[in-house]
Amino acid sequence: MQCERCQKKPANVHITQYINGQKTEKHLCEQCAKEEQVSVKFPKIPLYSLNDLLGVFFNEPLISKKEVQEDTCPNCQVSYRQIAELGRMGCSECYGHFSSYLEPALRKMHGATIHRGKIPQRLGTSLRIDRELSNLKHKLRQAVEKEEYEKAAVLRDQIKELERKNAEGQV
Amino acid sequence: MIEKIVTRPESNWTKAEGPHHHIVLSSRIRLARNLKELPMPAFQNETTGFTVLEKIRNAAQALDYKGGKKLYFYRLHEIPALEKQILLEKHLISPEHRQDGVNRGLLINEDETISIMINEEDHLRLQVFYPGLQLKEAWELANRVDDDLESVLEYAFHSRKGYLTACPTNVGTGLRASVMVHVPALVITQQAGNVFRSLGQLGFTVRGLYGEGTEATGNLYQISNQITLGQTEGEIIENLTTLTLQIVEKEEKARKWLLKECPLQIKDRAGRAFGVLQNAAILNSQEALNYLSDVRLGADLGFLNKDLLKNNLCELLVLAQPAFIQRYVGKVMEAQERDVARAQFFTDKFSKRRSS
Repeated sequence: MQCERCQKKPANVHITQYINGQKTEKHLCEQCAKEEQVSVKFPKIPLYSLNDLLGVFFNEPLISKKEVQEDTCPNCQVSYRQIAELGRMGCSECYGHFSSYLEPALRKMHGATIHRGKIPQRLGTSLRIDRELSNLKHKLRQAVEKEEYEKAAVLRDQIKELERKNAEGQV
Repeated sequence: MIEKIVTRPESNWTKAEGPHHHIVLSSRIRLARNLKELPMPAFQNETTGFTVLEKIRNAAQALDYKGGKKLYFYRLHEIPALEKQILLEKHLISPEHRQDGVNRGLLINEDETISIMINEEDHLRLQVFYPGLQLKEAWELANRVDDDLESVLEYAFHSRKGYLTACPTNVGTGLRASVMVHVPALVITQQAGNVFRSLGQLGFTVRGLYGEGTEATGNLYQISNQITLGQTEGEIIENLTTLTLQIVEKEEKARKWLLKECPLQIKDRAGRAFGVLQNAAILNSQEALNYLSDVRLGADLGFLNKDLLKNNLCELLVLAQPAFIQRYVGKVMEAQERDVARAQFFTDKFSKRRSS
């Protein structure tokens, strides 16, 4: 086989590329391959392009609306379109501003939309009591599902006690 | 401090310590945190990036950790490329953090247990690394450091969404717990695929040694939680610990089976691998890792001298990496030259050990 570029020397560099399912073949001689700067390595993909996958989560039907795309966060001025493209939030306030669009995305990613973990110390006690209550209630539901009624009774008493104290402002 | 870190292969996580360290090489906890209202790294300019860098650097200084816990601060663009590569090979920074950017920072303590990346994907990423299966212990330390930082920094936190992160896949706890496991017997007996597929269904991710998109070389896998919202940190850690213990059990079962059904093949495999490591003249890092895995299995099953290298496997893993071998030899080398240097290194390492 002859080199398809110079049509002179024998082709000894054979390249088969698949780009988006399209197959292309090239047969070059060593010198032409060098001149064309053929690299046998895969093209380097910029890191962010992987986040396009995440974009799927943001593409609820609602989000294809123009006013949603152009909606910007009042704190950082980043638009929802930019967020969906990069798969990255602009700032902490974006979560509040775009919460109605984000909710379904979060549910898809995590199967939940409410945080049950750690709370910063500085956020005071009331939030933490609320959290403890909701955690106890979560455990109670689990105990009932598993038919662990003795455990459930203990949990129910703990919840009552905490609610009583909370109401009396003892905690 | 960085000089020390990039010239020694050992790190806290490479110690052969901690429960189940023969299979679970290391445990890692990562917490993603951001500062309130400041633009996230993907959207920051030089000024806002610098503000974040300084705030976190000052906060770390205000912690005033003493002794082994003392945190040293570095700006990434001031670290030479080869040394950055070594930090990556030691899992102390991420591939993303190695990329350009003047406001990327690193805080690290002496034994490399605690490292904090500044302006990576999030403003702050705190990592705690322990050898063996010690997720709970690692979480406890990370939680304490996080509490301390939180007393001086105003984190972005929402009562219902939790810790707010650059990527919504981390929101809530911002916690990624992971273990690195060495499961050669599961791979040989072709059970690894099944085991890992079921992990995926339970909300855990399995990746190769160097994270996203890397191949599983040397029968080493990283397993981490996928979900960060709706579960407590305790639940996430308990679930991963339970799963890891099951993997340990399955790997041990597979090893027993191999020992009973095909001891000769395993002995042969380990012996050949050892022979190659001792005598090869050209050795790439992937090969080195695969042979090290075989040798380690052989040593674990008693076919090779136990104290031969068991204690050093993790360090050898680091040493076999491209940047580290260059540092070890003391010069920049092309791939082929590195493979020769690596082969020489293993020849020295193993022949010396055998004679002593």
